[in-house]
Amino acid sequence: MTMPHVFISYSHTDQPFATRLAAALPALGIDPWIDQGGIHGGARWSSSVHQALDEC
Amino acid sequence: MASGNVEDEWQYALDEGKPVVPVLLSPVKVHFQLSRIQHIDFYRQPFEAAVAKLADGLQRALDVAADSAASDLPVDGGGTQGGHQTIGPPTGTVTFLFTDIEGSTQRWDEFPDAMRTALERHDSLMREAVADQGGYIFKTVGDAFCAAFATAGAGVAAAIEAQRVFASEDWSVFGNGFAPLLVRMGLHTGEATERDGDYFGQPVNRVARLESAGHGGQMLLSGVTAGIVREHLPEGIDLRDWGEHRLKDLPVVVKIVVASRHYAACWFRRRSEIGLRSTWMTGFQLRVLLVHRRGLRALAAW
Repeated sequence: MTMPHVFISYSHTDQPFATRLAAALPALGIDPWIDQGGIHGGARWSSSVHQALDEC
Repeated sequence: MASGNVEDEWQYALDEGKPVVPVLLSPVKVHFQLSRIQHIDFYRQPFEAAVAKLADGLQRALDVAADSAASDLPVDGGGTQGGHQTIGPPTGTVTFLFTDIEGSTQRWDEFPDAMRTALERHDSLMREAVADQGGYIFKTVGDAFCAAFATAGAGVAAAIEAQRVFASEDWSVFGNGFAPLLVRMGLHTGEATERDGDYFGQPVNRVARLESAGHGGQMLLSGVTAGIVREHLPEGIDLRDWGEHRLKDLPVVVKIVVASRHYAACWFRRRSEIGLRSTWMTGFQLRVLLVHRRGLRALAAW
């Protein structure tokens, strides 16, 4: 069975939580995608974010 | 939720028909588009427990998305408890839970600011109680909630838990002189027609009437629902049979074996109120039962 992919969408202010969540999910059979750099105010989606959303 | 980028992302995901499971890190006002999607609450339970619920909900949501062409169905990413988990609206024989805050109109007039914040808390607690039993909230009207469950046990458990947390909540923090919110609840089980995430039919009408007959802090079950759950009630929960009665234009005949003095006080007050309310009930026979949790503050306040 293929491990499902999920996209974690979060505000940069919640990055510690998002990182912790991303670290916990693989052990439960979930493959998370998370923007490691965080999403900073004023920034728009990068191509990698858009691609990750499409693939999840 | 404060991030425009985050909103862009979940909006995009919803538009693409992808399952979305909101995660709450603190009590916040949820965007109306997300309000019908069951969230996972991370601030009222240990991180590990919430993650397990999230993973379970995600897995099921993804399974449904893969199997169903109806990918725009609201996704219930709620956790599991007692083996209950609903993804989207349950179909077939469904147990309905309708709730409403007693006297909310008057309280909005008296405490408009307190009611605004208290209602957010009420909504959060209700959603969590429903989610923990895999329920599906298919409608909210003001402070009223309409939820569907795949099993009667899940519906009753959700109602009990909601009443428990409502009773233990310190509502006085929302305003000076602000009394606890008392929520009346009705539960009924039957076959209803589900369409586009909403339900129609006699069971829905009946549970609405049943809920209206109650007082804040009470849970009124139809005989159908009570018959299913009677042998599997949690410890500390009693069922008291109020007998069979028409709820419209007929005096209510209540047949109850009073279990305790405290319970008797509840019963006598309810009996008279049911009689008054019966004038605007629709005519049908219901076997009404009261679920009473010992020590429930809302009841003790009577």
